[in-house]
Amino acid sequence: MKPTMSFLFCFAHRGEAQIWLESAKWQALTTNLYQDDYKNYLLITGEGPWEASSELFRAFTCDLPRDQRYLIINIGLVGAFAHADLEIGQIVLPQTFHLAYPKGEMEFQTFSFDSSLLKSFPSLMNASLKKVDLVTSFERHHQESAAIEKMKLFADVVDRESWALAQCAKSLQHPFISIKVVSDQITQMHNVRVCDFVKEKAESFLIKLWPFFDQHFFQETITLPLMASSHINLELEDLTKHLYLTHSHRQQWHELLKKMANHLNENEQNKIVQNLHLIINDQHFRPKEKTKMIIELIQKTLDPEKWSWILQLQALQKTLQEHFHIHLSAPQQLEDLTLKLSFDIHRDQITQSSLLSPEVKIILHDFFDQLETIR
Amino acid sequence: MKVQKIYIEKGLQEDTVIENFFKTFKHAKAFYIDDYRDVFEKVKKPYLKKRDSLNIFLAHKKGELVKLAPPAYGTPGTPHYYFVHAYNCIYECTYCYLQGHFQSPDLVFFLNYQEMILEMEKTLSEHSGDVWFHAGEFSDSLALSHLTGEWDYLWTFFQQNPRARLELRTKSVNIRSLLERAPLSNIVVSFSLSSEEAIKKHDLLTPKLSLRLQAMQKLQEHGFTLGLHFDPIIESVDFLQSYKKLLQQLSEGIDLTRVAYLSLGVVRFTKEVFHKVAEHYPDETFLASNLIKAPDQKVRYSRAKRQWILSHIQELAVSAGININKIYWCMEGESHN
Repeated sequence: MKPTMSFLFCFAHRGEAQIWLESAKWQALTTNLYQDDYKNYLLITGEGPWEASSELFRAFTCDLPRDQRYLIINIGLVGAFAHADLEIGQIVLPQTFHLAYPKGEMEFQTFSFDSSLLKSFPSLMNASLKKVDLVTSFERHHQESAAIEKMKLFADVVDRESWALAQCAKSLQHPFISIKVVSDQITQMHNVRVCDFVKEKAESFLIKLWPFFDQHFFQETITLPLMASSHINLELEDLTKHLYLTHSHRQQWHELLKKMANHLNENEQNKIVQNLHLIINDQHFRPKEKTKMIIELIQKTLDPEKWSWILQLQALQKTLQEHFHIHLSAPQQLEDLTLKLSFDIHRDQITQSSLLSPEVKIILHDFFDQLETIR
Repeated sequence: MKVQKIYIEKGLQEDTVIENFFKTFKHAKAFYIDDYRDVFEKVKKPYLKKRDSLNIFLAHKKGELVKLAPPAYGTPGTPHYYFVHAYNCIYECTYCYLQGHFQSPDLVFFLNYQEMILEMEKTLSEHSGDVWFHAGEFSDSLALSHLTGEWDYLWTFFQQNPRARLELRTKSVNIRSLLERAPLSNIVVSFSLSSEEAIKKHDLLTPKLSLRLQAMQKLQEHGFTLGLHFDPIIESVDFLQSYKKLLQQLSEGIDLTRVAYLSLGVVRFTKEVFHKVAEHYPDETFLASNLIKAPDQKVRYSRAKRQWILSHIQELAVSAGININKIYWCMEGESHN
């Protein structure tokens, strides 16, 4: 069954959230976090990347129910650069989130909107919103026009919080979407007064967004897409309960499951499951031994060539050890056609050794003679 | 291909090719910048963003213009160099190393061809025999060549310098500008090919096999020498059968005895690219193959498997009429064991 999710609406200012707060029955959980009857949440983060990220983290660590998936929805206003050809009041869907430090220096790390998320919102996908690149500015206004010139090379619109929220959402592993309304055009004259004016008028801009949300989010039963699809036999995943797995075994086990999902069809997987059950039910082996046997069995099935050469190598190791007392270190792969051989030899065995050339025998005898002198 | 922005280095405003780009990408906005490196790779742009939006940079290549190719790169016995006329590619091959090479999939085209050619001249003068120059190390060498226009410069240089040999390596069928010039014996147009099934599965957005075969036929009929790359070969249940069919299809349209060379290579990645491929194409079947980390630090099939694959494909190619002496195994020298 697909897990349902809660919405977590994030606004920078209370003014921006006003229409949402008035539209439903919200119960205040804290001074800036609200919950409705359907377990959706609304958070006022404050303006600026630091404020936004710290408030979101705080809400997740202190106030929001855990073991719940959230779709974090950032709603707010953006200023548009002239090249973007956006109209005041236009609704936009940011695709990439950049961060600009003071003076317009750009942060290397960016975040992207996961467009597969739109599959959960068919009507939103059909709404064909204008896709834009967004830059979150550390500064509320830029005194220097050079900063604006830099930012517009990377983005179409500018806001004060989305990048930080996207970063938190990624860390917290919750999906993130940002939907914005263009409030003004960014010019070199963009100053504090413009920002204050926009803040005061926020509610009137965002009223336009409400019907949009009402149609695209609240009228649909939203389910999250399942995590990456896998075709692994569920019984195989379940087998771990009967095994003794160390941390590295566990990693190995998951790798093997992935490989099996890609390489073996259902019948082949079922055959493995049958064989594994035989091992698991065998009372002669301890759990640790069973784990080793099972992992080997799967490896053999997946890579018979490798196992064939491992068997050959083991035979060679045995022959060298038994007949020549030579130890062969087993290489992980035989990629560079090099084997590492070693053996122990006592001083008295040097002359008789068939493994050493006369030159090497002389060198070794000399060595032992000198050792005597030192003693 | 949705091109949103075209960034032009300020010294290049007058370059005639710029108009070609704006004629083709009519809705793209122009941005004038001092240096493409101020924007390209300055911020991380995910590789798969190329599906939604691409930006183009028209720039002046700085630094080394002609570079020595790695060992076992081309036909043995001749020095091999490559020149970089562009970064990134319009196609989307799931195994492509470009996805881990740059921090952005945006396309960069370097327009200072004359400087590149001077550098090639200098390199050529350092050798007494033939020298190979390869285009297409970081980009398809023909896909957008009708816009970039470097072919005229290259043709003139290679016509005047028969010791210099050029390989134009491509998956495109954009051959019109080639057909406008007389073929030169020291220029090889080489096509990277896979079986039809493999192209559909792994070479996203590339021209289909039948179109590539048609383009090859036209070039050979015009007198151009062709090269072939079966690289990367990806093992699948019936891949030998698919390559047999590919060779059959090839031999129906072109004279395989006149092919300059066939290079064979199996799929391989650096560790970084391997992780990127896994991130971008988690369902790719070759990710779950029995790959190993070879001594050259590349993630590949085991030596035994590579030998098996390459020798079987080689056998098929010889049976189809390609001289065994014209076949070489790419990146399979001693250092790649």
